[in-house]
Amino acid sequence: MKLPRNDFNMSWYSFFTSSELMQRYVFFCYFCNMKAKVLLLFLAMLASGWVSAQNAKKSHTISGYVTDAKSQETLLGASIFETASMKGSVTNNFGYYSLKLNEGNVSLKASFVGFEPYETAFELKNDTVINIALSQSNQLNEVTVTARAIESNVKGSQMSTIELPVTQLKKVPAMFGETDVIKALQLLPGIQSGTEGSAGMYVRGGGPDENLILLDGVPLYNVNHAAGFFSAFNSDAIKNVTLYKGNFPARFGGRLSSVVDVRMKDGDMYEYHGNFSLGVIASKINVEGPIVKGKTSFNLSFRRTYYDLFTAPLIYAISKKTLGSGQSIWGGYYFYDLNLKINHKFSDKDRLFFSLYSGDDKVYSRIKSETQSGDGFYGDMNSSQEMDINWKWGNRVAALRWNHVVRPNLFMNITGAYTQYRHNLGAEVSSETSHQFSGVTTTDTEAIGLDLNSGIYDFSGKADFDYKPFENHDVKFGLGVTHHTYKPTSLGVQMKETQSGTTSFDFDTVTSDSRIKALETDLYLEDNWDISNFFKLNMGVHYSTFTVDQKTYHSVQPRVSLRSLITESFSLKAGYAYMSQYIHLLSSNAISLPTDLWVPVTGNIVPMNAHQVALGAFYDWRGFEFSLEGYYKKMNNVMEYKDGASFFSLDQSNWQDKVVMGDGWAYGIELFAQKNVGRFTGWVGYTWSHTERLFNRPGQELNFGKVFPAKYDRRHDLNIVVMYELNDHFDFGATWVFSTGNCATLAYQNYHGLDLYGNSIWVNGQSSIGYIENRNNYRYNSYQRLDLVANYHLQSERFEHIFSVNVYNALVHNNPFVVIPWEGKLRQVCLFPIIPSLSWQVKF
Amino acid sequence: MKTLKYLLLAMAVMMLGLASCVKDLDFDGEQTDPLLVVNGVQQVGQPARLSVEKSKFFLDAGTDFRVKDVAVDLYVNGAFKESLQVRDSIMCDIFYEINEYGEEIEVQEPIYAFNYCEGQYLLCEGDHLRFEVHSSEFETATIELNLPEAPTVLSFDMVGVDSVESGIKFSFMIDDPAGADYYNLKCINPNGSMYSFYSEDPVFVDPMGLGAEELVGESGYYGYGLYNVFTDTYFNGKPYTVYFEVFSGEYVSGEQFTIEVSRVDESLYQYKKTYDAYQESDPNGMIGMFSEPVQVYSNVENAVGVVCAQSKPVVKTIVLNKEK
Repeated sequence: MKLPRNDFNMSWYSFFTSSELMQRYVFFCYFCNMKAKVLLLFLAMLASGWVSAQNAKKSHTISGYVTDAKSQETLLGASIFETASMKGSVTNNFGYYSLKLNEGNVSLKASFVGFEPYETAFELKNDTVINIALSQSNQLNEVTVTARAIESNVKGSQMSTIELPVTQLKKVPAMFGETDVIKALQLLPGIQSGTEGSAGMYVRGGGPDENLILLDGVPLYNVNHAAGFFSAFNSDAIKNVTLYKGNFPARFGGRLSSVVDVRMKDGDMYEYHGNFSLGVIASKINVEGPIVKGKTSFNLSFRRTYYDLFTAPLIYAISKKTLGSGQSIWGGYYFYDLNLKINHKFSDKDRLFFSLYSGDDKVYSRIKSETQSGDGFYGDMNSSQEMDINWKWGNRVAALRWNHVVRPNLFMNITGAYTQYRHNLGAEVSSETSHQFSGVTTTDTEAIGLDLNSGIYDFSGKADFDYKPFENHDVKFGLGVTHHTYKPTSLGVQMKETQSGTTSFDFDTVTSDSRIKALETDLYLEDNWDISNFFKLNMGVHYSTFTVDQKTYHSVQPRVSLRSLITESFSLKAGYAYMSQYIHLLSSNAISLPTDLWVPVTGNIVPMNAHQVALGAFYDWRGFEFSLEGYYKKMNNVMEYKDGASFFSLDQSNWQDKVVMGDGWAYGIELFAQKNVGRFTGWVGYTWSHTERLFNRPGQELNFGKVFPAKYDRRHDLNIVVMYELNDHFDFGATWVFSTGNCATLAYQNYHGLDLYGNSIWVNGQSSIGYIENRNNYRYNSYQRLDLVANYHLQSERFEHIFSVNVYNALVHNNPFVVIPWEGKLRQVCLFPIIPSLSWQVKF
Repeated sequence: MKTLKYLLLAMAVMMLGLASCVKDLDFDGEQTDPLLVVNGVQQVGQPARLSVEKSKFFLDAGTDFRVKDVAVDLYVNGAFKESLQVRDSIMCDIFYEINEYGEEIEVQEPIYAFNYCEGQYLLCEGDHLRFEVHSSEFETATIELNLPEAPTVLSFDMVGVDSVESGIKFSFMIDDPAGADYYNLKCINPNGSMYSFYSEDPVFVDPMGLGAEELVGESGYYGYGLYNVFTDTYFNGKPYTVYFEVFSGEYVSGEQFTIEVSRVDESLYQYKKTYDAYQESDPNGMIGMFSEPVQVYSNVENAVGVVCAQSKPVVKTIVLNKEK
């Protein structure tokens, strides 16, 4: 029977949009191989999009930017939807949206948390640009937030994703009063911290190097200051933070466990303002404003610790007094970071952004000593010695981005970026001895210099596109190229000696391994497909290559995420993601240090990869968001240090000999309940999880080839965060953290081994050995911490003052940093039993 | 490099120490039972010797490691040969006290007691040994091993005297057969005690590697004691000359150096490798907090410890000739 054209189209369309058939299709796909699955689904998408386009009424694109009405700062993740058709979209990372709607009357509504909603109605006749400026609301509006919450929590196809607005971040209590992005993320389910105070993140059983931390889309390699007790992000410069902890969209690649997408503020286009804050550890300043009103703006933030300004003179004074005359020590430690963003708007279609980040940690010391001696027979002798040590490490990131609206439904972003992490240690020792005898003075000098360097340097370019080909498809595609240079440890040594002004010894050499260069390319295609009111699918594929040592690795990484909207406020989601990672971080599990090295895969060390599946239920109720997610993650080629290896003995020349590769898996359940509205806000996050490792490849066995729990395997993690706004002057916050203790390896039995170093095999009393039956066989005591913050706001005519009192670990709970056997007992070392702090912030 | 890292660690620990506190905990885990421990090196031409003792829980004090009712049977090439004689061995610290009469008396305080087992049969090259260790406290432990042949040493030589370092450089050439072989070197002075030595020869480089130390010229092997084991990885199936330098002060012409080269089995090499890694990891010290744990090699079934085999040594005595 010959079907009329429209009927034929409808039959195909209904095939792909009928829930029952779709379920059959997904079931069928489950049994196909992954590449075939991807191909079939893409064909299905294109077919359905084309068919619906053929079938539907004439449609037009509504597009534009959503901005803050006051500052023109673009709003990321703002929701725009048409109320009659309930078709919607959210703004991308540059605040741009596009929506394809049928011709006719439309009623458009835009909303964003903390802003008054915007509504407009008009007749859509052709492609229309609507730039929406939202006004900040003084009070959180329930309707606004709820609408957005439903869109993101229940209706969005993506799962395992959490957005953390900076306004919320700043209300969370913080150590030393320093608001910290990474520490706030650690309070979310599925995210675990490392040791006490550390900024390390362990996401769903993955290691700390498996997190891709992006600052305005550019990777940042070392996200820590002060051995990990502070993160590299200054909260004053940040606009938005999004965490993807699984089921990553196809546009992200390169790490196994999470993506933290940090976006910096663009700067106010019309007014100058900023803030200055004074804390016990650091002071910060943030200024933003127009360079050319309405066209060009800047945002500049600077933060520096000043602990050393007090400690260096104190150390000097104490050393002068205790070490005696002529001897002194001057030294200290500080870190700083600088963020600059310049944003120029050429037109509604073209914008240019320049971002700069520079952050360094520095340890410095100068040790001096002077001695005088002499008698009538041998003459007088004066000698002085000086030792200077300067230790510096840090990141630099520079990025230039060009946004161009090619067509109303096609948005393009081109990025060129440079990122580096560099570590430098310089030491100089010099001495001068002068000898006066019988009226003749001779002077001898000696100088030794040491210069140690290592680093990683990346140049990258990428092009990203957001495309709205049909009303039910949001397509993202792009490509990128990164050139990595890994600079191994190089050591320069200079030595010089002079005797009576004549050089007697001069030596200058630099030893360095050759640099390792690698080329990484990425290509992705992603579609967010509104199949029907019931089903929404986000699927895509990320393809990457990595070329190093004349060897090229390839990886095709499919990503799928499906949402079933059961009711308007309840949905079920499922997702699958495959990730691949080409670089590793060599660092201590316990503490972050500047000697940590990023190293690439090699001929022997193959890329890590992970498969992750997740299922979730999402529910919204009167401003409360609830989610329950279960996940299973299988990791291949994960790296661990060999028995006995310590990061003290690791460097780029030998690291391959000290690591082994194996497999790991993690599974768990995460519960998240959040309240975003009203005076009383906060969340409860609970995670139940298992993380295990198996290293049983020949020659690479750990734990005798048996399964063992990973170091950060914790059964329970519970975080409760509450914030209460009493009135315009006072607000309070509290966090309570409880988690099962970390794993550690204890030798429960000690025995005497064969003595290898004595003169007789029977004198073996000294060679006591700890017998370890299993790795990570002991668990530390549980971890508990209550942090509190109270803020007092005082508004004057021109300034707003905020006085904050923070108490870290208010219950003085002795949380274990490390546990060691000590004189017949177990000795637990705790850090930071309690840290009260004050800070004062002025907004102008 | 390592020194610098230690310095950094010290600074980090110092900074953290300012804000840290310590707390002693009661162990609330399961107290595990002691394990049977068997150790020994079986050398061709010597009687079989084993030490037998038990381990202790890591929080317990105590010096007596003896096992009740120990019996050790030796089987050679599948046939029962003998039961080893078991004796108690008690090592004591000796110190002096003044008694109530004002007299100085010797006091012996036991610091280590274990079971010492020795046979009478002199072990032969190529023997296949099987030990069975019985006791009323533990399951029977067993270990089997083969006694290796003596190595073929083509030559020994004194290469020269290093007047700056006060060292004497020696060499010996091994004719290595195909397959994995393990050797042991020791250098003995006329009193029977060991000379310490240093070698930059790659055969001694620890497979764990020292890394950056090589960069600043600190690489090399410091040998001392009975067991300085190396593999034939670098010269498998070929003749190879090994160089090493003995240095312990002033030497005079006529002084004797006895060099012994023997073949050992893989278990001694594996034990030494993991034991050195264990010591390097500083399990009870500050560095240990940041090191991965080490499971020391053990080859005794139903027990821990290592029983290894060593050939008869090839011995050469060299008299120092400072003119050379």
